[in-house]
Amino acid sequence: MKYIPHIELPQNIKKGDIIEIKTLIPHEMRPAVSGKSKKEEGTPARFIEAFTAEFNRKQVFSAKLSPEISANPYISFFMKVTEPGTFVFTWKENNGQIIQNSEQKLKLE
Amino acid sequence: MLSEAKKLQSRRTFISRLSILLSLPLAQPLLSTYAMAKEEPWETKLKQIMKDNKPIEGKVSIELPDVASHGNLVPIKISVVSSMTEEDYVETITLLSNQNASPVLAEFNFSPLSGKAECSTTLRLMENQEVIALAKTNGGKFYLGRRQAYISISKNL
Repeated sequence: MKYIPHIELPQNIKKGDIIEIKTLIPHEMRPAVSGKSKKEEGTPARFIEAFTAEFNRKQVFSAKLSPEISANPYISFFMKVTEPGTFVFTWKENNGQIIQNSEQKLKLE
Repeated sequence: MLSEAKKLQSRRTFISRLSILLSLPLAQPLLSTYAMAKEEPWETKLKQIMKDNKPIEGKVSIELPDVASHGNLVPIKISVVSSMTEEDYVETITLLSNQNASPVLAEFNFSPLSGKAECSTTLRLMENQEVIALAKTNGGKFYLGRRQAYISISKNL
């Protein structure tokens, strides 16, 4: 399954601003479910376990998540703007699959 | 007849007093071991992170809805008072719950680039519980914040 993340950056950014970056990724964040009987096998957990945000190859923010986070995990955080550049957002599933977005660019006014 | 009853009573009082006498010194070590075994998972986790340090309260604020309408999607915002400079910034915020067997809900790592020690997300909280946020600065200081979460509809999906 392909997960397409949504990222929102504010408009009209100037140098020295502290901006809020909002991210959301469609994902079920499934906790482990045990089987109804002994014979029946349960389903293992499948969730986003880690999120990192890098700007010009420097880590700004990262998070470790658990299935206690709602489905379609929304994370927002802040960054101090010092220069224009490119963001790399990475989500990692607990089975090792990596979802990456490096399309977001920051332009200054 | 009367003396028989008196005898019985005196024996009873004697036994009850004896039991009280015996139980007092014996009960204390037993109770303390019971209390140690009763330590909640989140308290163990807090101790594990903080080691011997004492947390400072009042610098971490947790924003939650007064009563969340559904436990599946509870927005939460955590912020810490910090200048967020290279010399002094919040490194990590650990979010814990006092209800879960695995108490860590999430962990957020900041850097001096963050500018603000604040982040938000959405939680699954299926019953009323206390949410605890522990912030650690790069200088090794700990800040603790806690907030009770109230959920109006629980478990029935």
